[in-house]
Amino acid sequence: MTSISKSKSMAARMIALAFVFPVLYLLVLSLADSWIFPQLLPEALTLKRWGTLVGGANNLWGSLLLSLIIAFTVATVSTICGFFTSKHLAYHPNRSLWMRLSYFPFVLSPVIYAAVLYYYFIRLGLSGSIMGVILGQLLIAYPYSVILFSGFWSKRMLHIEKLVQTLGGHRWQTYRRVLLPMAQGLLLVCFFQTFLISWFEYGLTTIIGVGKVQTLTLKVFQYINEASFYNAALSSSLLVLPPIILLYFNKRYLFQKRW
Amino acid sequence: MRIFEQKLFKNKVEATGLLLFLLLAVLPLLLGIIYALLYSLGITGLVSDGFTLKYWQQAFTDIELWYSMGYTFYIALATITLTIAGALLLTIYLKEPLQQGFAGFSIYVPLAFPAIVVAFLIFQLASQSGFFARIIYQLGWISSTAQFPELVNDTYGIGIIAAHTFMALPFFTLYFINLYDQENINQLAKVGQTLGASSAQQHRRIVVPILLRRAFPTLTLYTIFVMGSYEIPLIVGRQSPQMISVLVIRKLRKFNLSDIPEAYISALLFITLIIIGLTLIFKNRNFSYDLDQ
Amino acid sequence: MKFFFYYVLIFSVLLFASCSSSPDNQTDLQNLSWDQILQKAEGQSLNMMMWQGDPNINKYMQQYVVPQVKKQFDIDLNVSNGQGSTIVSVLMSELEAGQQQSELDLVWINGETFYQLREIDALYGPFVSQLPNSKFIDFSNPFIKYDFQQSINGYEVPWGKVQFTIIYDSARVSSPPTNRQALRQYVKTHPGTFTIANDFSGMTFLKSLLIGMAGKGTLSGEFNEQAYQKYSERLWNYINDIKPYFWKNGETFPSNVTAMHQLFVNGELNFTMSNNDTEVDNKILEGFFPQTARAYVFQKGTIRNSHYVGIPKNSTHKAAAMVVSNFLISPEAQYRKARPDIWGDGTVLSKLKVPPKWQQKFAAMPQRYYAPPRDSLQDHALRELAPEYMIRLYEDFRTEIIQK
Repeated sequence: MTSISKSKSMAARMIALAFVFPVLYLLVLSLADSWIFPQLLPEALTLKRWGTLVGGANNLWGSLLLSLIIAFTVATVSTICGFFTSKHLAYHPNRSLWMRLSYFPFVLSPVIYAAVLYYYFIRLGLSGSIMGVILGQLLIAYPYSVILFSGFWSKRMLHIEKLVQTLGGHRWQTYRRVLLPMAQGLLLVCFFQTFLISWFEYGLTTIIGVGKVQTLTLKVFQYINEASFYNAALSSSLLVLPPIILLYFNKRYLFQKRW
Repeated sequence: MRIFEQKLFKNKVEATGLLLFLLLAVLPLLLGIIYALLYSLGITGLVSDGFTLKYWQQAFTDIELWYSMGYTFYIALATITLTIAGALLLTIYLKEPLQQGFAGFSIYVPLAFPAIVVAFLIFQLASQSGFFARIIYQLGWISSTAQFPELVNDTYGIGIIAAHTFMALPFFTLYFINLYDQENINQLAKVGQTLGASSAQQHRRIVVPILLRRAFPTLTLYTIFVMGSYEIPLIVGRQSPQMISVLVIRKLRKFNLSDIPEAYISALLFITLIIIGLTLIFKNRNFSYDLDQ
Repeated sequence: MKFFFYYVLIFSVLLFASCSSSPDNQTDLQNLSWDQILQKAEGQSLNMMMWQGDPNINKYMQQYVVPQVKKQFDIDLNVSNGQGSTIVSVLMSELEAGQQQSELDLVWINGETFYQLREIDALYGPFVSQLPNSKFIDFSNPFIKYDFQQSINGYEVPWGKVQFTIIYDSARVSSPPTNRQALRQYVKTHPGTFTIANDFSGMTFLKSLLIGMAGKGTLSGEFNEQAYQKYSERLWNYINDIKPYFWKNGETFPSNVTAMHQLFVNGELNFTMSNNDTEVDNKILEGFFPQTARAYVFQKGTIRNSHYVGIPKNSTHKAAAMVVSNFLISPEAQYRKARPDIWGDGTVLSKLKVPPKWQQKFAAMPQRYYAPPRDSLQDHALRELAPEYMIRLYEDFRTEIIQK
């Protein structure tokens, strides 16, 4: 029995290594001075690439900030709007129809969605602008947030709400004192999930943003495109490290079974 | 408008909520479909000369498009099959160790990777001069890069499938483990055991069916999600056949301007596929608001 | 709840308000003096879309052009990635949507892109003669004056002049094939070491072969469908014959020249190609290519052409775009660009027309070592064909070669 559990934990450790190895590989690649075939390890390590992060000509810092601003806005808006609308959708007689509709934009390939909507974005004067990219990403993140919150509204919740109102609670008070505190955990999860949707987005961003709105993912692609793999690793690290740090504090932010 | 409002909505707040939803989630999709349809029928567009069905005919006889559709299906199904198999194995045999300590942390790590970085990593690790090839070379098993098997930009989409599986496997392992605890599968299996089921029978007859049935909607959604992926096939895929998203964008951005309507037709075909996929999911009764249950 | 309603309201107002950028009063720039244009351009920001597949080119733009135009003219230049077909697609979508204010203000184009943009009437012009530095340009040179047989008519500014070369590793290849027969022989005896990139460089190589098959001059002039059919069939037969001996058995092709360079460096390929005859020097100086890399051309010659920058018709920052274009063709910017250690892009300026100080500098330019001297390539320089040939090659390469 113990030998089985031992081999099991051994296997688990191997799997764990396979999952963590890519992070280490990215970091080493971003620090490598020269690392070409058939070298197994880089000849030397250098900090100069990370050093250029601040004030460097590659403007990675600017992209990092831009990605942050966009993701923050997308997450805030979609979480708030999603929470608000999902309630009304859930209590609406046609709720199953709304529920079905909310899945469409979410599973639709973002690039294809962007391709068929590009015309309208130009018409609205939103193509090539940060606002356009934010709106475009909202079109994916917001339905997701609606889906995420759909499980929150139940008959029980409706009873509680009614009860508060019978006891004289105002609608706003219901939200502030009852609904929001109860949804607190889910709100946070939704915020981080939608943040990541935006943070990770590439296809839609490059189409709607006409390549002008250079978020971090666009930088990664540009470096891959010009075969600057060390720089691609550096910008990839910038993309990956924040969610991993977040993960360290709370796993729930990253994983939501009801997506 | 007033009558309409009164019938559909109870009050202004509800109206706002629903309108917001219609505006952000329903309207864009409709508009997108309409535009793609108009363009594909030659009604709009800079090079159009009025209504025509020739682009549809052209598209339906374009082997490349069907090839691409088939390839897209193949990649998605291969990914999801590997994922299901892997995640079930991990859930059944390594559930406990994967819930503790470093392993418990590490399984979440791939969830922190965007598709574009995963694609880049697969390219770095698995190309013929990549990290894996270097290990094999240093071991003396190969003497040149060409001897290393093609794993990226390859015929069978191995690179694409590997990248997707790297992202999907941990997700579904966690998902299954969650379901396992939630649905008290352990106890059901014990009941099976007392009724004389062997360990293999418990897995085959109880654990796996319950997990798959419960996870069916999510699995279907993920399959569609993989079919629509863009960055991964763009970076580790090959020139032909291409997955549908890559094909659409390439056809949109071509010097041959008469290919643009076909790009929109490809997009419409994909949207139709999603509608079919979603209809399939919604047949599953587990998948609705709590209020309906 | 009212608060929230207002929040949404304000947010959506903000969302749409922030996007309607201030319309530029489109005075006709053609009647303005250069000083007036400089004045108009001051403080503007403009977006340039260009192919960003080469780190040296990107470095030249980011570390030299961008800071210089900021310093000299107070112009914020933003560079975004997109090659010819993307530029056509973006500008075409804008025209379809009736957008009067383009997202693009300056585009790096030539050949088929110029042709398509002129077809859909998306380019501003003529404006080239208004640029003060255009007087230095060597317009007598047919390789500059004509872009793929099309007269540029002041709609695009010549930026650089290059010739296609094949690059090989002399450590691995002792005598590189210099004609079709030799290439066939080489590929068949050294399987897996040669391929063609599925981008403009690969198509330019195919075009050189096509001209070689048809004979010099046969395909010049306007696009000739029959001639194309006749010679392209020979070309595809030739390629399909040796394709099984290509890299990865010819089942797939590198998507671009950057990927091909990578394969060359890793030793997977013995050959790579470049549209820029100095690229081999610049990549060796950078330490990317091995010291043993060399460039050469086929006996029957390779394509020599120029690349240009153009201004979209609906750009709202045309003055700034003109000022930046003028800077790009200044002796200083051209000299820097031509240096093998920077980019190695051939200048479009006439060495006789530039001020004496620059004549000396150009004459004393660091020489290139690994590519044949530009003058010796002159005899092997082929003129570009009409743009339709390129468009067809792109199409047919996919259907006749990749998908077969």
